[in-house]
Amino acid sequence: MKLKFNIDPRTKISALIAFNILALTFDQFQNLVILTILSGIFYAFSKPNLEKLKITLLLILPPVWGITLLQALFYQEWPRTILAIIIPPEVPIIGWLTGGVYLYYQGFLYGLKQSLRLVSVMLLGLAITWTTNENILLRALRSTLGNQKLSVGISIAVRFFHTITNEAKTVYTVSTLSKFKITSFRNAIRLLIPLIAQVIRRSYTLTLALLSKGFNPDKKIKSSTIKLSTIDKVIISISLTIAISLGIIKLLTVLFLLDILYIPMLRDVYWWVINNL
Amino acid sequence: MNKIIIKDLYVKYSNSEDYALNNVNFEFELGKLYLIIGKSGSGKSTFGKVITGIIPQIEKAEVFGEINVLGYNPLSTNIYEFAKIATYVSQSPYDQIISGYVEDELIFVLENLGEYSFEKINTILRYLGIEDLRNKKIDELSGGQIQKLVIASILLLNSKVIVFDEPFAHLDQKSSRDLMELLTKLKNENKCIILIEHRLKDLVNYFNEIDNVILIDRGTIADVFPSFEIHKKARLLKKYGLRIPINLELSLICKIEVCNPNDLKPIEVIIKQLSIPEGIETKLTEDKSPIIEISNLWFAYVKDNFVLKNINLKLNSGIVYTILGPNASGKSTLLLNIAGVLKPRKGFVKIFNKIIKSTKDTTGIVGYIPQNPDLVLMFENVEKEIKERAKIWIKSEIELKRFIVELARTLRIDDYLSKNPHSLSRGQRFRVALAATLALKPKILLLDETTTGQDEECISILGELIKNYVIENNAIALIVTHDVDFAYNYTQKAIVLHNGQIYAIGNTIDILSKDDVINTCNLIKPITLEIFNRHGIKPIPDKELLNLVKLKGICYDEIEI
Repeated sequence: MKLKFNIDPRTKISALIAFNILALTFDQFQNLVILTILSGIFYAFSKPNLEKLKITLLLILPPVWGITLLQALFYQEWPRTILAIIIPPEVPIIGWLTGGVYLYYQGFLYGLKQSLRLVSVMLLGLAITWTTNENILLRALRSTLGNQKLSVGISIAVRFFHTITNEAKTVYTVSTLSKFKITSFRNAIRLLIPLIAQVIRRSYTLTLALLSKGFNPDKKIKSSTIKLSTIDKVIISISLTIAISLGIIKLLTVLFLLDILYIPMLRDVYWWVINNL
Repeated sequence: MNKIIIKDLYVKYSNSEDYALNNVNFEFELGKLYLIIGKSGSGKSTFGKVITGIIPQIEKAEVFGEINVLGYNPLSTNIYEFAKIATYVSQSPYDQIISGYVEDELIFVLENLGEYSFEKINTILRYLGIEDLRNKKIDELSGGQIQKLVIASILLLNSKVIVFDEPFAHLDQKSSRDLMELLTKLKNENKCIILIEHRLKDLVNYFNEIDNVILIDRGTIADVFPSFEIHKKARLLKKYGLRIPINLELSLICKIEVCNPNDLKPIEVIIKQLSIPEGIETKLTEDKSPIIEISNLWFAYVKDNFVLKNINLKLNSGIVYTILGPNASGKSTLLLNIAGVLKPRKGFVKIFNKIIKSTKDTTGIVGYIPQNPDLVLMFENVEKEIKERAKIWIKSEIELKRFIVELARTLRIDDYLSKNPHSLSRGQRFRVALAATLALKPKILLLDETTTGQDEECISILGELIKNYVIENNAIALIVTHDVDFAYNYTQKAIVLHNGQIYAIGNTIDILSKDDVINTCNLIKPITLEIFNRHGIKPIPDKELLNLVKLKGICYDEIEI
């Protein structure tokens, strides 16, 4: 079974948006774990090979480790339980100044929660990227945006990303072979000069190219992308409706907790959100 | 209205005192193919841009006079709508593609037109003979295929007037021939095709397909004549600074009459009658210790997908080498391995007996000019571009000044020393990049398809300069190129790569004389070499042939036919 079994890329993008909203909405640890497991299942369906697994670990492990450790070290809320003492308060200077450095259990949990938010979205995003051709994904994105200027901008950015990267490499090679050393900001700027000149020249060529392709920024166009199937429509509607609804009630609850907005008829909803989300 | 009528047209750019176009009057017709020629800066591109409304609607300039394109005025019609009537195709086809895939590019055009018939895409791709490219990535296409994709977009637009600005500049000879056939096909479908070119040499085989030639000089139309009479205008074309094909050049020098532009009689006659002196052959030094030694070199970008396989080479000083081969045969990769930018999987590159591990080992020894020479230009003015590199080995200020002036004068950029290099014309920028690289005084010069898109003047300056440089400095030059004429005229040895392996190596003229090399690399043999080979005479480069003819003062009357 593969994730790419006829799922429209727009459905995939919608699912990713829904996951993003849910990851921000959930505060309960178990909810975030469920979301991450779900995301992990989708990721497994994308059948990543060893190289992709390595990339995934490289993308996920450093931020997870960093966020969790930092939160565990610098957690300021109460109550907090000390898991380990890194620097005792009796240690001269650092200990006296800081009052001791500790690893807090609650901070560790909080950091883990933040990491799960990141991991759940990242795993699904990688699964989608690896199971969808970039052109199909781009086309879906363009049709979702519905804005002619923005979609052309995205297409051009994607199209010339490799070109500009290669040009940057070439400039660096030429600079190295010319014995130029990057010792100051001014020297570094020098490497940008040919790249900027290239971008300006290319922009003009692209303007002419857009004209020769009948592009008119003032004209509203309809995307030619194939219509969504009923299943896709159902998935998009359900996932986005659930995610957006939960997101809205969470927002209203936060506004209530901050004493900004209180709607009496939502009393039970507030309690439900606080206890379950 | 089926015509483009231009009356009393004047165009003036705000940054210039002179008129770019000065009292131009002309009528273009549908169903014809026109060639606009003139030397760089004569106003050819300005003419094409005014016809298509690019000037003044996109590029600002003052335009006076009357222009009527099939009943529309390009000066006042909405440019986005006018592009569907008259389209301008600029150089560098690669930069004209918006999407990452062929199909997406064409869908983009259809969406802009509000049409959603995918069948139309199939029809156009079939018409152009590129239906197998439909699902390909743009990065996988050759220059010729990209040019065809650009034309496919225009065909979807159904423009009646198409202006191509130097469309052959980035194409190899086979792709140029295909493109010309396609343009003729479009002309026969009642479209008006306007070609802007300055390299007549590239068009030598296509004069029969072109209807009229418009010669422009300093913003005015100097002459208009049918292309089948271009041979009668050879003297005029030379007078206006254009380089003419070798058959016409020889016909002028030797006063041999030609009956059509493709008439090769002058070359045939001269070659048959000339006794080529033995001494004209370039003596190649065979050093015992080569500057570059490559042994059992294997290279792959991804896994075991080897781009270079078992390369073994010994390259000597004082020689200009060319690296030939079809697309993706590993030519540029070989250069980058020599420069130390890429690391071989197996084997090694030795320079001056030292194994190259990174660019640290080649810095100061290797000078590299990439395919886009603009990427070499990093300073605020031309003088600094040269100075910052030369000061590494010239310590005295006076010496440095003298060196800059001399080098700039040789490359004809001495008038622009205080100017920003990026504000110069393409040919001038190329010469600045060359000066900057030579200012490093490298022992090894690596040039990656540097001749692509450059005019003949630049190519000839490059060829001569490199030839002299390697001899004077006991250096070595490796030039990757698709330009067979350049290889034939300016390089002494050729390395032919095919599928990442060395297919042939030897003296350039000998290598290019081999039909299997020409066919394998998708090249077209230079016409003079073809004739030399046909008559079994030892070939010499075109320039030497012309010099020999001038030296001997050969005249038609003296030649026995």
